[in-house]
Parts: sequence; C-alpha cells; structure tokens
Amino acid sequence: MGLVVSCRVVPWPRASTGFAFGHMSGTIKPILSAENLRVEYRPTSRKGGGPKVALNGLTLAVYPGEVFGFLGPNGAGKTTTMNVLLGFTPPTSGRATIFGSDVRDPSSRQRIGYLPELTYYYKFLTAFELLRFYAKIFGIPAAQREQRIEEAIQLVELGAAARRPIRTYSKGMQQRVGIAQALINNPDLLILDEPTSGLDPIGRMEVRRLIQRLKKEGKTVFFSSHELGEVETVCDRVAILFQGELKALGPIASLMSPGETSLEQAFLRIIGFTPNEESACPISPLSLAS
Amino acid sequence: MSHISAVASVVILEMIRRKDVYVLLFLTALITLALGAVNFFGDPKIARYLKEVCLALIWVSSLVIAVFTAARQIPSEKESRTLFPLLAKPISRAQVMLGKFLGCWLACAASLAAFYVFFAILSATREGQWPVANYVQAYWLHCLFCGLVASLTLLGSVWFTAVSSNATIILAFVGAMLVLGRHLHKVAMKTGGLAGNLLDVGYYALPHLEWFDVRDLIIHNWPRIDWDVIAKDTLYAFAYGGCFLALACWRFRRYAIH
Amino acid sequence: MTHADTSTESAKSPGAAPELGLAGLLFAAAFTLALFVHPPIYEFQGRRPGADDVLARVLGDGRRLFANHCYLKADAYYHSGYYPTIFDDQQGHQTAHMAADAGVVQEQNTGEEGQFLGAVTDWIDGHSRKHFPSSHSHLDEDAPGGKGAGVEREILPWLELSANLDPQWVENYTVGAFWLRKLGKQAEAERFVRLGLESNPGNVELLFELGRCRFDAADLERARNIWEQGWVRWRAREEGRPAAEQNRFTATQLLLHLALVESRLGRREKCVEWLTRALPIAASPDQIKKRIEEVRGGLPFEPIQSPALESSGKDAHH
Repeated sequence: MGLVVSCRVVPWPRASTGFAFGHMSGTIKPILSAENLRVEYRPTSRKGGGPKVALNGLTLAVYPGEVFGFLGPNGAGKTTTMNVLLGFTPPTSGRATIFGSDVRDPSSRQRIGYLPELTYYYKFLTAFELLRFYAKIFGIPAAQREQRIEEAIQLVELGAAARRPIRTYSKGMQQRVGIAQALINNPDLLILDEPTSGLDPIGRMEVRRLIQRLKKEGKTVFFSSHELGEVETVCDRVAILFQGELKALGPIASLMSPGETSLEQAFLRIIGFTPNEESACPISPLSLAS
Repeated sequence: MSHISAVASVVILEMIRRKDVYVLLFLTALITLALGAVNFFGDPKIARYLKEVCLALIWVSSLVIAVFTAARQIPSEKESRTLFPLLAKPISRAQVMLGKFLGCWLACAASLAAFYVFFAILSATREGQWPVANYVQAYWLHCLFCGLVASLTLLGSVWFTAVSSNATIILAFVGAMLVLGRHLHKVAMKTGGLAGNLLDVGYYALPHLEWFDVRDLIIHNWPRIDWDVIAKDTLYAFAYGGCFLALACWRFRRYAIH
Repeated sequence: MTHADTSTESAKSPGAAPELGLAGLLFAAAFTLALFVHPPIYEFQGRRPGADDVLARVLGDGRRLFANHCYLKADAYYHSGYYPTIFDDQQGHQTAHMAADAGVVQEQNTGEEGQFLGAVTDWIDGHSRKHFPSSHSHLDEDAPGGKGAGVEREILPWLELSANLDPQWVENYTVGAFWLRKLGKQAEAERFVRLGLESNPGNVELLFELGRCRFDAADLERARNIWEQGWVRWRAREEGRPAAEQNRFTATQLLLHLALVESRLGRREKCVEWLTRALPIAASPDQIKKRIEEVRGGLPFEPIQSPALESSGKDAHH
C-alpha cells in the first residue's frame, strides 16, 4: 500500500449492483440525493488566494429505511454536506433534494428530524416550551401537540425536568432534549450530526439504541460520525469523504479488502493513511477518533 | 402565519425572562417619583416638567429596548447556533425574520403599554385629567416608531456582524433623525452644492422618525391630532417598515450559515 | 451614669473600669473634635453660594450650560412647547415675529401667529407641523386648552433649576419672582429674590424686585427703603460709566416706583423729586414731565403704561 494506494479511488459498488439496497434504485426513489454537489468558500482575506473547495462533485443517494453513515476525517466536508442538505449553505453548483424537493425549499424539511452535533437550544425556555415551539413550526395541530410533546418527553425520560429551563440541564439532559426535538414531528428521515460526540458511554449506548429502534420502525437515518465502531454496528451503508471528495460508498462489507477485520482498517486504507509514512497523508492520526 | 407567530412568541418569552425591561421600568418610575417629590415653591400642581422627564425616560427606555432586542436576535442566534436547529425545520428564512420582527414589535408595544399606564396615572394625579384619546395617539405613534426602529435594526443585524456596531449606528441614526429630520431641507438650502443635494435626498428618502414623537403636544396639553394624520403616519411607518423588512429578508436569504 | 454607679460597676467587675473610662474619653474627644471642626466647615460652606449643592460641585462651571438650557426650557414652556430652533433661525427670520423672538428686531409680539415657521415648503414640512407645537401662544394669554387656573406655574421649576445651577444669573430670580407674584405667591417670590440676593449681594435688579414684593404686600415703607438702597447702589455702580453703557432701564424703574410709593404715602414733594431725577435718564421724558405737572396739580401719581412699570421679565426670552 502506501502513497500509491492512498491516491487510488477505491471502486465502490453502485446501488444497482445487488447490494442490500441496490434493488431499490430501479423502483424506489431516494429520500435524499446529492448530484454533483460543489461548494466553494471565498477566502476571508484578500491574501487568501482563490476560493477554497470544500466539496467537489459529491453524488450520493439515501434510500428509505436504511441507516446511512457519513464518514470522513476532520475537514473532509461532512459538515459542509450537512449544511447544504439542510439548506444552511447554498451549493456553488449541483443539486440536492430531500423527498424529491430541492433542499432550499423549506417544505423539504417537513419530514426531517435534525440533531445537531452540540446542543444549540434556547436556554431560557423549558424543554416543554422548546418542543411546543418546534411542534408549532412543524404545523402539528393543537389537539395533537400536547400529546406528542408528552410522548417525546417520556421517550427521552426527561420527566419533571421538562418544566425547568434548559440552562439548568446537564449535557446529557440537553442531548436528550435534542433527541426529543428531532423526533417531535415523527420524521421519516433523521439527520444526525455527530450524535454521540462528547457523550459518556451510557449516553452513546442510548443513542445507538435509539438509532436501532428507529431502524426497526422503518425510519431512514443519515448520520455523520467519527465513531467507526458505532457506524459498523448500526449502518447499512456508509460513504467515506476525504478532502471534499467521495472516496467510497456502499455496504460496509463491500468496502473491506481481504484481510481487513474492521471498518477502521478499511477507512484508513481508503483515505490513504499509513502510520509509518506520515508524510504520505495530509491528516494527523489525532484527528481520527477511536 | 403560525410559523411567524411561533418565532415571535419565543422573542417575547425571552424578553419576559430577561431583566432589562423591568429594570428600565423600575428606573423610570423611581426617577420620576423622586423628581415628583421635589417641592417647587410649595405648588403641588406643577406637572409639566414631571411629564416631560417621564416621557423622556420612556422614550430612552423604548429606544434601548427596541434597538437592543432587535439587534441581538439574528447575531445571537448565529453565535449560540440556535439558528441551526431552527432553520432545519420547515420554516423559511423570511418567516424567521418576520417572526423576529413581530416578536420585537409586540414586546416593545407590551412594555410601552406598561410605561404609558404609569405615565397616565402620574399625569392624572397631578393634573386631574385623563385625555385618553391623546394618550392612545401618542402610544400608537410610539409603537409605530418602535416598529420602524426594530425593522431597521433587524436589517442592520444582517449587514453588520457585531451587535454593538449595529446598535451604535442605529442609535446615532435615530437620534440624528429625531433632532434634525424636519430641518434637513433647511440645512440643505443653506449648504448648497453637492452636500446640499445629498441632504435633500436624505430629507425625502429617509424615514421621518420625528413624526412619531408627539411628546410636546402631550406635555403642554395641546388638542389631539386629527385621526387622518395618524392614519397617514401609520401608512408611512408600514411602508418604510415593509421596505426595511423586505431588504432584511432578501439579505438574510443570502446569508450563509456555517 | 452617675459616679456612684460607676463605683458599683467597678466593684463588681474590676476589668470594666478602664474600658468605661476609655469609652468616655473617646466620646469626649469625638465631641470636642466635632465642636471644633463644625464651625469652620459651616463658615466654609457659607462663603461659597451653592457650595453644598452636589450638582454644582459635580458639574463645575459646566453647570452654566445646563442653566441656560433650563432657562430656555422655561421660555419654551411659556410658549406651550413652541420654541424656534437654530435651524429655524437659519431661514433668515421668515417672519417679523420670529425675528423679534430671535432678538434681531424690536418686539413685535402680535400677528403672524399662524405662519410662525414661515410658509410650508413641501408635504413633509406640512405634515411634520402637525406633530409638534407649531403655532405661537402664551401661557397667560392664549395657551392651548385656554388660560387660567394658574397654568403659568409650569415654568417655575425650570427657573428654580436654572437658579440652582447658576446662582449668579440674576434674571432667573427676577423672572421667577414676577411669575410668583402674578400667581399670588408673594412670600415665595420674596424668598426666591432673597435667595438671589444671597448669591448676588446688592444687585440693583434684585433689590428692585424685592421692593416690588414688599410693595405688593402693602409694606410701603420697606419697599421705599429697599428701592432707595437700590438707587444708591445704581449710582455707585453706574454713574461713573459713559451714558451709553448705563443700565438706565433699571434706574428708571427704581425712580418711578419710588415716586409711586411716595405718592401712595402722601408725600407729594418727594414724589416730584424722584420724578425729576428720572427725567434725564428716562426713555420718554415728555410723559414724565406731564406726570410731574399732574402731581403738582394735586393728582396722585399712577403707574405709567410702559414696560418700565409693567414687567421686569414676563417673557423670559424677550
């Protein structure tokens, strides 16, 4: 392996080649698709040179009912992709759709649940008020709203604490509020951005259990993560992004070469990281979690 | 509309839970009552100086509330990243902006109502009269003023990154318009040349915020303004406020969040 | 505590006696120090008018700016909130009335009330004028809502504030006293003028106003004494100056009021004497000559209808 291998694009199975979801491509439309997405950032200073390419020609599709892992080292373009898919950042070129609607159309987010990496909620509100606010935005009828909020609160086991301001919560409790708000509209697609980042082992286990439960309920989950072990446990398919380009896409088994025993080994090979030749890889091993 | 009202309700809840308005109301009441306790030549009926001080404090407080409430909305959402989960919901950026405006405006109107009730009671205890129509006119014009200032500040908040720079610029502009607004044309005539032409453009193009300040009429017990004048003021404020909000929505649509 | 008590206490607890003695000594020392220090402090305060005023100490000489603002406020209040701005003056004093108010031409306080700001230049100007007091009126004549009920009282706080901020500004006291007298507050007027005299000892205008207060209170002898003192001080201050620099207006007021009070006291010769002294300095000597003849003919001297006897500062900015 080494430098030569690291620059090789690993052939990845197309959706029509008979893997777990391959058969769907002909009959079922993808829930989420990106076609040739390119995102460029203008330099912040005049000395910064030309535009920085954060994402280059990303094409992928996520089908109903699958758990899709979106992997890549720091700076690979995962967050940029998430930002484009959620309409935060407009793509320089290319197109992204969710449920067939352009991601810039707010109605495309009607059936989405989004859990950000860190807890970003109005700290002066109680969990109950926050969930009511989001329920209103989802247009949940008033008659069902309170019941839906109660269910979400019970699901994440917030209990009486739901009536306290969020600023009084521990980090774990805030993450539970995040999960509750992501589920308040009973979404068909969940987009989770580093859902286990910064959580203790119990919190990670709970999130993993939640993803598995959602999978059983037939929900589609699209999540980015550094936790390769976790991805290996729950994902049907993964995409590996490196330096803004898609390096691999497919079921985990298809990405493994003979002799590789874990996703981590496959991941490191695909992104061209070799521990003995640090100069061959522009990223530091420290930036890879687990 | 439900999206807009939902966002507005969060803005109002935030203001209710912050201490700013209570502090300003308390300070206004305290300073006014302290001045009311001053004995001028043993005459307890002297009222107008007290009305003037009270209204001046109300105006300063309302300006502070309107500017700082509106100025922090978008930047603080961006800074605390609460904008991410919000915009990941089926809500357009224009709806977020309009909801922010509605929330700021209603919050200002509600706090102003408390200030004006205090003023009316104070005035009645001194002068023994309740010119309700005059007070309603003054209150409504003041609300329109706060709406205009809030919309302008929201527009500034998507142009300027720092809350402080936006607030400073808006406060300077509002202060200048209140003092100079109706004189710009006279100054332009006196100045002449390019500077005069620019001042004249400003006179016709900038919002005349001083129209909404009828404190002197209230203080000196002038008769109420004709209602058709109030209607014209309302249309004027809605037109300018609408323009500012349209610009703010347009700018916010192109606002990259990452 | 008596001596006997102290002895008993000492007997009960041997350690208490020195403590009590020390406390007594400290108390005596503190009391002595207070007695020693207090009079000089009092004297120090008394030598500087307004020295105990925190506002004056904080603002320093800058307080005169605020005093000017308060004085102008009083004037604006007299006009029910209307007051021409520096920008209005920039218009070249569109009306004679405005020019009079700005002090450019002599008083012309009638007419043009509707066009005080000049002709409407455009729709913005026209609409703007409906939102602030844009017509000229006086509190005691044609104030909005009608005059009466002592509404003139509203200007008083600003005059008192102005006087507090700048105690050497004599007009604050004279204008304030004028309105207080007009509102029937003779005692308050006199107190205010005396306050002014504390800061401006021997000021002729204030002595004249003080005499008016006593005159209104029917204390004619004291009024005469005060005005005589005023006349003496005027002569001492002004007679050495060139005629053009003399404050003849105040002198005429003093002399005519002295004539008036002598007439009321039935001393016709003294009345004629004061009127004769007024002849060389009065603005209208012919009228005074006529009055001298009337008094010599046995008629009582009545106030002449002129600013000299009418007002010492009714309109604050005039």
